[in-house]
Amino acid sequence: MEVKIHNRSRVMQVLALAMFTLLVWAYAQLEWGLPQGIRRTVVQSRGSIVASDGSVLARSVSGKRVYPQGTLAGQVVGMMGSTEGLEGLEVAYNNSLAAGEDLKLTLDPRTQANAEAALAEGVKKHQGEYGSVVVIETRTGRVLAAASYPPFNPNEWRTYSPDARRNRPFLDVFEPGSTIKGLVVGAALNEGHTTPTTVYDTPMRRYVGGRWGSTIGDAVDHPSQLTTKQVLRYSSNVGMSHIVEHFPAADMRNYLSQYGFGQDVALPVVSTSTGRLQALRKWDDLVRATNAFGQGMSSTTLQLAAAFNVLANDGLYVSPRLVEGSGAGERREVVRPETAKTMRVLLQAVIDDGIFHAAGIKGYALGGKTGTAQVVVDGKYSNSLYDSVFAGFFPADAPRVTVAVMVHGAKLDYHGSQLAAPIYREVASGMLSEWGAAPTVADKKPEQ
Amino acid sequence: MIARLTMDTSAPTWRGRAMRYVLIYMVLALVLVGVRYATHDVRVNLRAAADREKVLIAQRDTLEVQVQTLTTPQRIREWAFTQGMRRFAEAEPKMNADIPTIPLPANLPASPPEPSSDAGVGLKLPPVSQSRLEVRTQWK
Repeated sequence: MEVKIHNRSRVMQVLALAMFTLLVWAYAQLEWGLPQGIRRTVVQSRGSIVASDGSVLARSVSGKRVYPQGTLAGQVVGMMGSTEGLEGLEVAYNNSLAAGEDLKLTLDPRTQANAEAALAEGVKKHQGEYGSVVVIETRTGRVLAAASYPPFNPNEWRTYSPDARRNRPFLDVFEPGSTIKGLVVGAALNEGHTTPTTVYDTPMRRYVGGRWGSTIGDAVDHPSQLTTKQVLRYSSNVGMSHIVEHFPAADMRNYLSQYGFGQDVALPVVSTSTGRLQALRKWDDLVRATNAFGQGMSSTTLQLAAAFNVLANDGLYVSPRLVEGSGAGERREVVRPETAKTMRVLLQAVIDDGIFHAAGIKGYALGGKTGTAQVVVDGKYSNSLYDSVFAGFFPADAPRVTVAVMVHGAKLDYHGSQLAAPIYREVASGMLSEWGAAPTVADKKPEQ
Repeated sequence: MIARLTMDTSAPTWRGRAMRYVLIYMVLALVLVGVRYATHDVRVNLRAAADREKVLIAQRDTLEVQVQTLTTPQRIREWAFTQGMRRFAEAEPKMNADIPTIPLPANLPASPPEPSSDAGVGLKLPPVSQSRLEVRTQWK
């Protein structure tokens, strides 16, 4: 009997507790509705990521994070997990986005789409592995496009490999190859070590570096004597070794640093690679010569674009910016304005006289330099794996944008002039068309 | 003469006061209950409206995203190329072009009719010359 009463009281206790819980639950429902799950609230209140023209790249709809532009700038935007950002700007700006603040980027969706399409077409056609393109606004350093291939759609991020999610223009480092020649000649001109018309003896091969030296060679057939202008046009490594012959190693290395190589890019919060310049103590004659044609150093596509932007921007380095209102970045004069102007003329001649079929557009002044860099595999330069590179700006007489292109591992026509240069031309063509820039009629073309 | 205030504390006075206060209290209570009864559907309607708003906002957002997805620069670019459009910068600069002459309508008189005198409100049109018109367009 006692046991029964004891059990009954337990049942009554449980019942009372259940009824109390029910009452609390009902009251909560009535007053403010029970929390429907923290995840939905976190996602819904998260800020949007918008492009410079207001197009939404990431936003929250009905408790879900969506990326309406799909693959457009997918690697830059990154993606969000259940409550936190996982990659790209979603993780870099996680705190401010979680606080409900919107993020406005400098990216221009049309330029981005144009760059992505040109890159994808080039990489697929030449059977490349991956590639990247950066377009920056000359005067301000605003990044208008940062394209990666293969593409990545953050809406279905689980179906992609980590490689596809990689923001290649900011993270992949490579040897920039002959594109560097434009910058090194600019530095040599600025220091008075050469002039555009200085003539050099340029056999196809030359031994450089004394006892521990090596033989460097040229890939493009050229006359036995070349001016500095022609050294760029024929992309002569031998010519470059002459140009930097009297360039003190410390000064030349300092110029490359000032161009931004081996330095952190002043992009707050966003992950970027630093690339590499060899320590000054290792700079002997051979290292100086190889650095003059872009070997033995490394860079990202973003750094290469920022460096070429110095020539486009009258000698002034402006650090790239990706997010509006994220700080002014760095500004410094690297070469004098008149040196930069001379370099623009020389680099326009590279396209007009040398690779107009690949990089030129009739009626428009484009300037730039190609590069084809062998890739180091197991400590040796590979004979089958190449990076195809191009860096340039347009319009060459008064640049508005600077472009850098890199494609890795192309199996067909991997030279910079065959692969990266046409991608640059495609980007230039799209932007010039958008601007509605009228072509210069041939007979009125100013002497450059 | 000094007036003296005296307090009426007799039982009938208290009874009267008590009755009045109770009545006022009851009237107030009745009014409140009446107002609550008369507006008992407001909260229900507000909740329903909030629910409808929530659904509509979700629909609007979904439609916005759909529109953005369908009008991405990539799609527009692909569409333009499949329609055979060419980029402005890749079109050959056009220096000049023949503008085909448009034949005049057959029933057009050689010269405009003279305005009749009875139409006269003082409006007199100048005779239209049939000389050739040349237009030169110059890019700047």
